[in-house]
Amino acid sequence: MATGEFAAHAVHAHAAPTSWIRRYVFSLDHKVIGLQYFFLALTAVFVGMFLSLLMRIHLIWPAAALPLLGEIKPETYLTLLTMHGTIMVFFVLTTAPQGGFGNYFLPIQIGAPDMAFPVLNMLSFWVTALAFFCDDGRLLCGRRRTAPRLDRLSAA
Amino acid sequence: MVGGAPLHGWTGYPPLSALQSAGPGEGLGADLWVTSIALFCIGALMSALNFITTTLDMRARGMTLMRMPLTCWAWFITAILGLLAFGVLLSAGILLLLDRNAGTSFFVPLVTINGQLTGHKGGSPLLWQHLFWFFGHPEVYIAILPAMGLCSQLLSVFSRKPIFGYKAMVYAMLSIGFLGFMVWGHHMFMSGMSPYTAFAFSVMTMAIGVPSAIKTFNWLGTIWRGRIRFTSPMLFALGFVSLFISGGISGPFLAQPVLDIPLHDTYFVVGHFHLIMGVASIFGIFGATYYWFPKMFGRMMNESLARWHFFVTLIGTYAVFMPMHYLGMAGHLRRYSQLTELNYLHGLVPLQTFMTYAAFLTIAGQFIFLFNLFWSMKFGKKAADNPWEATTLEWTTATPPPHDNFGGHMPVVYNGPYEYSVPGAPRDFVMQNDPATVEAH
Repeated sequence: MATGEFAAHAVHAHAAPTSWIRRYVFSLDHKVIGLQYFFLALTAVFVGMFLSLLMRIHLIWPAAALPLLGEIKPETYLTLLTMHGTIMVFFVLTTAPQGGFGNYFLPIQIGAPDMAFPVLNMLSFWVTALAFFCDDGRLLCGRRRTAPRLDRLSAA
Repeated sequence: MVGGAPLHGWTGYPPLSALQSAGPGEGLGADLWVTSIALFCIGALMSALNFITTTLDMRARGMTLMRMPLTCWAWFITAILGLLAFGVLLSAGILLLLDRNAGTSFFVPLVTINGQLTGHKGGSPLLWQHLFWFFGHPEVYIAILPAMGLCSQLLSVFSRKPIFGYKAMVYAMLSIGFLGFMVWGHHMFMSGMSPYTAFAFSVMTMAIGVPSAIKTFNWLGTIWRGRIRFTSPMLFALGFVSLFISGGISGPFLAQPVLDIPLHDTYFVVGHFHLIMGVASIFGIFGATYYWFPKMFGRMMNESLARWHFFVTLIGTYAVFMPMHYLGMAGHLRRYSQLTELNYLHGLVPLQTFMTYAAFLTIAGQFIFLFNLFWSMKFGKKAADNPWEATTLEWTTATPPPHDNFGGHMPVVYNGPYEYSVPGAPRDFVMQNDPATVEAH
């Protein structure tokens, strides 16, 4: 185990960033990446929770006309169920505890200056974020070309 | 977008998920869904590689594996599970994309839609179920293991006692991770598997109850006769233990094929996995947020709002998910969208209505958290460097930590992570980098 030699020269894997984009968007710092994961999960959990609320409303008042969304049809109920499960399992329960807090506190708790591969770490987050937008981009942006029905609102 | 979102459920079973014309949302929507899952797997694989390498190679001098906080053990084991599980889902996802768009038949047998042949033949829908659940069951532990680690940490810090059975906790997490790869078949008792195979999966599944019970008893042993500080992170850790027990106790029931087959497609399963995988894990996330917020943002979160958030969430989630067990036992099938018009479900509508109101309450409670989070970032009380009087290394550095975490010098570790109430020590805790070495006890 090379921990001794590693810790002996306390050099950080990369210099502190100077530009805003390198500091907050494409950051290599595990603390910033951890927070990015955390806020991605925070966004996702509120989206997922909203979908579950629509399901609960539909179960009790199936004919209710909701503001902006109209009536929830049975097949829309199945899309709500699909998206609620996907968002909650992948983008909340997998993302927040491991990607978020793990990224932020694993290096600090074991006494390391950063993760082993900072660039890979940045890529991991942005691929995950891309996956989220691929899944829910339209849901979040809310761009609607036709009638604002829920089944058209969500792209994937 | 034509057709909207897919409706094949989060498990994406073929043939529904594999055929473009299988339903509304199974066109472009489902393509995007599969692509998204595949991308997520790539991100998770890279992340897992990073976590494993970091844990093995980047520890400070003196930070032996058995001096790591249990949170680090949990993240490490989770990363190993991720590395083994996400690769399988990634390949399954790519095969599904090929089935959908390139005319292959990995998962699609000879099927017709409205009397028309689909052009597929010879594939096996069961193959997807195996590949999916070979990922899917470890995924459950990927969600809950970090929460277990956090909970162990919080219970020890706020009971001012060393964690009860540190080594047992590590081995329990390792064996949960190991067994997690051998039980995927218990999600497929309904698929017509051989009773002998089902028996093997059933026994392995119930074996997971042993390390889980070890962890639970160790948590209780940790708080037993501790000088408990009921701070908001501690409340969420206690809530986690409560939910872990109430959600986990239905596991051994569902592990038996003879009970699982009638219960599998009912709300019983929905109640089970929401309590243990969903809400328990989210309690871990909340506990971690309240615990580490001072280190991340340099301010404390508002404690009374946090308490309101805790009690509303605890009562609300129990009120939503506990009745689901009764619904399931009464034969209420899951994924039914219309229950008010079905005669045999009429008697259950009042309970469902109660659950909807409880869901309103729970979700309203989450806005307390959201407000507290953003309000405290700006206006919270300034946090000291070690507000919880904890021993691990993140509390030895500045708040928030500098760019290289420790301001130019790397820490040297002399003690284990849970040295609380040490006899003869000047304070009731000894930091991990405190050179006044503590005698092993």
